[in-house]
Amino acid sequence: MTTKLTAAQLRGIFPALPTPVRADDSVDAQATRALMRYLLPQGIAGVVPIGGTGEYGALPRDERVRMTALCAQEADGRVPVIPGVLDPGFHDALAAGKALAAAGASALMVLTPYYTTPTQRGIRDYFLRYADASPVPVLIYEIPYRTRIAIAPEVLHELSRHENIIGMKACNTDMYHFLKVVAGVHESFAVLSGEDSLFPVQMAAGAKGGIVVTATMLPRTWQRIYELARDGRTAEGSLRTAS
Amino acid sequence: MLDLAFAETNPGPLKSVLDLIGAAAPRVLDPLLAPAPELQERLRAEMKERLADEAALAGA
Repeated sequence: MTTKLTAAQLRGIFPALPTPVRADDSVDAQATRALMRYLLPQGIAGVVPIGGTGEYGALPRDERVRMTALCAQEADGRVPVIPGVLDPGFHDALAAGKALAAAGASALMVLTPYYTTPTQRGIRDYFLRYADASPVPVLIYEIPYRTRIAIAPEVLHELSRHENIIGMKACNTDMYHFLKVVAGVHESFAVLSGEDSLFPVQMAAGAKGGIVVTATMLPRTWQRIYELARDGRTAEGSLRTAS
Repeated sequence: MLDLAFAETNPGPLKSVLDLIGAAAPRVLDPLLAPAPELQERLRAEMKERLADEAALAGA
């Protein structure tokens, strides 16, 4: 993308990409290109490589960069490429983000700093510092059932006002938490559903779209579910999701 | 379909059916293992039906 990504562009379906790999654990460029060429004509709003679905933690560092570069080359500016940054500490996370930005990332989906069990103030300071230093916009990645770190809604409200923090992937399955988050985030911040199973309900509650695993296979089905939910036809969207 | 796609740790099940969209790459990285053969077969059958629906949506 040639212009800086904003929350206004975080609408619709963003497939969470698996990383095709060869027997030596390197990225399979041919399969990656095929995957992107399957998805790009089908109405997706962007792609999210090397998150949890992309096996970030198991991929060699150079291969994470290579996967991002391949996706960016194929996207060629038509949709944003938003790779994950799943390192547990600031310096490795920032170095990763800078390398991914140089490879063509439009924004970064940055995981909560896990393992150290930070306080809420520590989480806030971490993301503010990261956003100040990041060369591209940041989406917060909250997934407490993996990290055991939940971000308080009030902290997300404050972070949502930072000019370089444009959204989040919400994988907290506590819907009351979700409602409190959505109720107070700034208009320059988009909450994206991060749970395939909760997508229609989270849309009804204020999500602007979703980062969806199974949209890699079924992008048009998920686009239809998105349209139904966006138009207030949540029950129909839920039926399609659950069937 | 979601129950099948997430019956084992993501992305193993999803990767086992990527060939259906022309991006064959079933291998998962350590410490993940390939999903159980029975799960792969069930997901494959289900996904084939869903992909037929996709084609219909594309033509709509």
